[in-house]
Amino acid sequence: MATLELSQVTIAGCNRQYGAKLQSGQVVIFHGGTPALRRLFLEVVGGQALPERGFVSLDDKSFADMKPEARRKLSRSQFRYMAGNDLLLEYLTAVENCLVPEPNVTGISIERTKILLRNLGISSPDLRFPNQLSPLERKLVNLARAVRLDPQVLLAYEPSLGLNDQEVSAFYTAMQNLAPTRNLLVVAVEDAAPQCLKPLDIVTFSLEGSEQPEPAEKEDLL
Amino acid sequence: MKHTIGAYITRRGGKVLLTAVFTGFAAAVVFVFGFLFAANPTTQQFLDARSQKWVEVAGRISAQQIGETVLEADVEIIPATVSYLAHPLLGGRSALLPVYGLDEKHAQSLLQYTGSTLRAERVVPGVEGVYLPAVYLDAVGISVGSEFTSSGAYQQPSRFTVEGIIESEIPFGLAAPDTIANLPIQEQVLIVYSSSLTLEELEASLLAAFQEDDNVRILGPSHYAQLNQERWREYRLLLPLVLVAGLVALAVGFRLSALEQRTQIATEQALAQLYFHSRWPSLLRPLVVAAISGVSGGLGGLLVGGGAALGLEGLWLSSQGIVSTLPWSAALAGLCLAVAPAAAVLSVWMQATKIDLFTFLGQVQQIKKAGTAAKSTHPSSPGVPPATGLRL
Repeated sequence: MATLELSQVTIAGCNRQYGAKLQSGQVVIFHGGTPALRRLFLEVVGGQALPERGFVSLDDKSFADMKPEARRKLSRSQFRYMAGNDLLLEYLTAVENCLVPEPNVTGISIERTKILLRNLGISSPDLRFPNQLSPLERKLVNLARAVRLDPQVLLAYEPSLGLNDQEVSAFYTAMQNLAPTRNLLVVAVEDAAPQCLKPLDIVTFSLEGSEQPEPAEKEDLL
Repeated sequence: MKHTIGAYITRRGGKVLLTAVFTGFAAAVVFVFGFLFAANPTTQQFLDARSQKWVEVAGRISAQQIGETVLEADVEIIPATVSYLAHPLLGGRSALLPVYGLDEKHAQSLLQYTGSTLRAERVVPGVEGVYLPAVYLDAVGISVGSEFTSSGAYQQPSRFTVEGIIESEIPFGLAAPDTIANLPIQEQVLIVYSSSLTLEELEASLLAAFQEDDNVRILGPSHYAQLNQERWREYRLLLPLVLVAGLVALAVGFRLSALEQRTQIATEQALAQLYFHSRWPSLLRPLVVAAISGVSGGLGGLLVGGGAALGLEGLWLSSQGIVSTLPWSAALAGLCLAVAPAAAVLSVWMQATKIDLFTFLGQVQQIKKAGTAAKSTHPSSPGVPPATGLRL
C-alpha cells in the first residue's frame, strides 16, 4: 500500500501550490497547464526533479531529504512511466512487447503476461503484432507492459493521446479496474480533463485554476 | 530488449532480404562492369605475350651489331619484317597483332622456340597468304580459306587469304617476307632471345648498348610493362567511378528505407531509458542486421556477378576473340558495397539517439494501418472506431 503525498508543492515557473494525498488503487488525473508544466509536474511527482517549494513524499519518505542517488534508486524501483506514444515494437507480438522490461523471461512470466493481456480484453495476445491491434488495444498493451514489474506508482504522460472519447473511457475503465487489483497508484497528466469520465470513480485535478479537486474522495486531498 | 536480432530477422525477413538483394545486385553490376572494363587491357596484354619470350629490336641495326653487344651470351637472332593487323576489342577499340614476314628457316625456328603448332600445309604461306592465331580469326569472324581485308588506325587496307592457323600461347601471325615487305606500313625488326640470359638481362644489355641511338628501339619486358600501366589506367579510373556511383545510389536508397528504422531505433531507445536498460542492444540490432544483409548480399552478388561474367565470357567474349579474366580488384570493389546498408543505418542512428525522450513520448505513433487491420480482422473490439486526428 503506497501513499504519495504532495504538500504545498510549488513548481518552477508557476506560483500555484499543489497539495494531495494519493493512495494505491487510485487513478488520479492532473490536467491543464502548458506541456512544460505537465512534464515538470510529472518529473516532480516521480522524484526526478524537486519542487521549488513544498515536498513530495512516498510512504512518508520525503524526496527532498534523500540524496539524488537514493532518489533515483527509489524512482527506478517504485515508479514506471507510460505515455501517448505506446512505444510498441512492430516486430514483437503483444506478449513479447509486454516482456520487454523483464530482465529474465521465463515460461511463468509469459503465461502471466498472457493472462494480464486477456484480462484487459486483448484476444490472442501471443499471436498478434501491433499492426493487428486497434488503437485502444495498443494503449492497453502499453499499460500492461508498464505494470508488468509491479511498480507502486504508474506515472502516465498523456496516456490517452490519439484516442476518441469512447476509447478514452474504455482505457481509463481498464486502468481503474487494474489499479486496485495490483495495488497500484496511477498518476496521469492530460491536456484536458477527459469528458467521458463522469460515471467513473476517477479523481481529476486541474493544474491551473481551482486548487480543489473536482470529484470525490476529498479526504485524500489536502 | 535483449536478443531481438533473431526475432527481427525472422519476422522482417522480407526487408532484410530486399536489402541483401539490392546490395547483391549492385555488387554484381560493379563486378560485371569491372570484368568488361578489364577485357580490353587483358586482351592487349595477351596480344603482347611475346614480350615474355623475346626482345624485339627495331630500327637501323644489324644482327651482327647485336651479336657484338652480347658476346658472352648464347643469343639467337631472327631477322624479320613485321606489320600489324587490327584486332577488334570492345567499345570500338582495337589492339595490334604482329604478323612476321619470315623465310622458312626462321619461321621454323620461331615456331619451335614458341612451342607453336602450325595447322597448315607449308611452313610459310604463299604471297597474299597468311597464317593467323585462332583468337584473331574469332575476333574478325573468319576461318581458314577466307579472304579478308585488314584495316585499322595503324594499317592501310590490305587483302589477305588465311591459309593456316598457328596454335600457340604467344599470338602472332606468319607470312612470307615479300608479303609483308610489300605492305605500305611495315618495319624491319630483329627477334632476339637467349638461352643463357633472362629477358630482363638481355633487354638491359641491349638498352645499355643502344640507349643513346635514336634510330634503335628496344621492345622488351620493361617497354611492355610501361605500356600495360597506361592500358590499365582507364580501368583504374573507371572502376572507382562505377563503385562510387553504385555506393551513392545504394546509400541514398537505403537511407530512405532507414528513415523508417529511425522511429524503430528511437522507440527502442525510449524503452531502454524508461526501463533502465542498456541502450546498446537497440543501437546494435539495426547495425548488425544491416551488416548481415550487406555482407550476405555482397557475397551473393559476387557469386552472381562471377557467374554472369563467366557466362558472358563463354557465350560472347570468347567468340569475339576477347581474352578476359575475373578481376579481383572488381570483386573487392563489389564487396565494398556491403558497407552501404550499415552506412545508411549509421546515418539515421545519430538522429535517433538525439531524440528528446519526453517530446518523443508525447507523440502518437502512426497507427492508421492498425485501425484498419483491427477492424477487418478483429471484430472483438466492436464500436471502437480508429483513432482520428493523429499527430506525429
